[in-house]
Amino acid sequence: MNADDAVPEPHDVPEPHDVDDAVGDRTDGDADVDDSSVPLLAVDDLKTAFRTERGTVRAVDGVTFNLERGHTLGVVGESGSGKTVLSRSIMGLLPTHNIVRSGSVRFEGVEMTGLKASELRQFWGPQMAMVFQDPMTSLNPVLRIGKQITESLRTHLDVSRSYADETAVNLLRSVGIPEPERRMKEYPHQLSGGMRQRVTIAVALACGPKLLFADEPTTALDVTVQAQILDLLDEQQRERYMAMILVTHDLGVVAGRADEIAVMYAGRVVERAPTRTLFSELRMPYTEALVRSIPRLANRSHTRLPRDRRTTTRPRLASSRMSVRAAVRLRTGPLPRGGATASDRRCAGSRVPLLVSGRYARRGRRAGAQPSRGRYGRRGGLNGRERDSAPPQRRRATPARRESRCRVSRRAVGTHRARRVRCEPRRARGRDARARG
Amino acid sequence: MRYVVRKTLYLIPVLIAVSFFTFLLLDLLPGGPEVAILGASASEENRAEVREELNLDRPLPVRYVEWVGNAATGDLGNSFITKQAVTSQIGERLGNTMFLLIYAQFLALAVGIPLGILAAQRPGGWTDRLASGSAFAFLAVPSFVLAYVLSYLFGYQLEWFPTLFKADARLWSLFLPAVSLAAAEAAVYLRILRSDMVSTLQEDYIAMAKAKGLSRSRILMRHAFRPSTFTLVTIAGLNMARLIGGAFVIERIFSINGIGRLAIDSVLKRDYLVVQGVVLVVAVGYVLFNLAIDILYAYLDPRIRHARALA
Repeated sequence: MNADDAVPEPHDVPEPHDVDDAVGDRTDGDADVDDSSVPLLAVDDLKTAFRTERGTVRAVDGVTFNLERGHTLGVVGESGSGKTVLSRSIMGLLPTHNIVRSGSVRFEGVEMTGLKASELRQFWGPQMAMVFQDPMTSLNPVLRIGKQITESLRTHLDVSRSYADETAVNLLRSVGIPEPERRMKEYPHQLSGGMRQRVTIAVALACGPKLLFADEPTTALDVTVQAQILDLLDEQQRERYMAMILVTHDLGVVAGRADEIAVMYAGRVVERAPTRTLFSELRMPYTEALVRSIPRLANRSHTRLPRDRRTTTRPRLASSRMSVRAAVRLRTGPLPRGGATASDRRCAGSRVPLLVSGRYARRGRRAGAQPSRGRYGRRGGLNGRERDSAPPQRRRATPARRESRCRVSRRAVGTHRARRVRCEPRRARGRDARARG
Repeated sequence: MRYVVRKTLYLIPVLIAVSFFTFLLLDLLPGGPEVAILGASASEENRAEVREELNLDRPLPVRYVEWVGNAATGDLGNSFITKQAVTSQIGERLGNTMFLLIYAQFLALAVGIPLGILAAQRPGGWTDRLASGSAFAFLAVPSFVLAYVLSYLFGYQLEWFPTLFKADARLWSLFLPAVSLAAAEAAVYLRILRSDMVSTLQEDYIAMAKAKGLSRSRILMRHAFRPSTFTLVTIAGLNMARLIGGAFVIERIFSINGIGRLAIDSVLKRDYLVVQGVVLVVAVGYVLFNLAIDILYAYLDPRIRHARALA
């Protein structure tokens, strides 16, 4: 998509792009936007932060990319990495209070960030639309399906009721709903999950948007239905020459469908590359970890995913198993730069945010490593580290240890220099050990 | 439609139970009607005579069936004391009480709903704090206290409204009583609608409606309001009981010729049949009102409609 992405050499990292700046200059003050050299969507250093009681959480932290008409960008990342907030922030759907948003979002050269709510509404529907994650909750339970499709038509396109109804029936048919006339009069609860997601796609497509956000459109669905929905999105996208931002936590979903993939972690795009390049040359250890966490069809059933602590447990620790306080601290803390190992150096420029490693933090301390290295440098590296360093003396993972919880020590949080994370085994461990011993 | 029929059929056992307990309640009270009529000093023979005259000597189930049978045809017997037909006594007054109740309910909803929506728009904002704060204040004031305050201020001092009931100007003269009853109800409605609305506005389908580019007012009214009213409607139905209780007191304060006053007077005079009739009418009315609420509920939420139809 982007000119410089053709050269995969330094994998794209979310530093401000010169290319984008150039685009920015060109679009100054042109209202007739049908200039084909202007990308459909240009996001430049977009930041979105939530003000919370415990500090500012940077959910999206300096994201830059361009998206051309008809192309698909896959945004991949774990829960809490900021994928959803990114898509909502681009669209301008987030509430205004307690949110700090900066950077620029240009849609066909029109700057969207400063627009009033009423002006933004003109974009929502005919220009850009969104398919939400959970079709069970994203349709209004008390309104008929027909109504939910036609109302955006009636709002934006100023068409008669009968024309809107006709259009809605055609839409339903095109998204693969049998007996569309009958379904029009039904309520969401009368449809299955897959059907509902088809309906939400029809709702999103109603006004013929140029850009479609698909926010984990298949996460809430049955596996057998997932492929159908993705194919449907694909097909509609090609038919309409629509750009799409496909947000997912599953690399498998975007692998065959996106032109380009952006991997997000902690609000940043840590790696971005054309799909083929991304998979053929895994650069970023975090991406590698994500790739490795895709279950393989060739494996026997009940095969466990490779248990790599730093790839499987660490991201989770950083996002969901830590207390809010700790997570906020981490997100707001200074970002790591540089590092000791080869993989760390590779990622040095990408400013990988803090990841928490109980074991490494502990080991580092014991080994008398310098605190700054031990905490930031090592943590920055993720699983790349494993290959580069001598295999650490692994202790056998006892069940108790597996359950050990990571906590930010209160004392450490208080001090400036340390956002030290300590791994504290459950209380029960001692007892277990004794019982076993 | 089937849902309505089913709901109505469910009513039959409820009504039987209600009427039976109404009947039993008075039968179990010590000192039967004969004492009320003849006085405590009457001889045992006289009492037995009166009991026979009133058919009280027959077994309870027989009397109950007879009473219900008569009640179904609109005959609740004659008062022991005034010798007037109970149905006509109630009929005269029922209109006034109904008027007051509906008036109060209407005012409460008319105030509670818009304020609830307004407060929900920005939880924690100044409208929310003001509305929720004053709601608490009104909740804390008993209706009869408010009735006296209003009656003094607007009736006596300012003379905007009459302090006593006038049968020929009901809308006007019942305004203060209705407001006294409605204040606490409005506060309840406001708080319920507010909290439901706040959570509805967090729903995905609201975000979806927003992403469709609908206007704010359309999202609020078409998408958020109806799913937020389920609890409100249920509570409005249950609140009728509270309103009736409140009306008994308010009717005395404004000397409204309603059922509540009739009930209190009859209790004091031990006019059993009248009390029985009033309780029956109120209970049946309450049950019917809640049937209406159930039907409204199904209208509001299609999921209920279909779930029940399938069951």
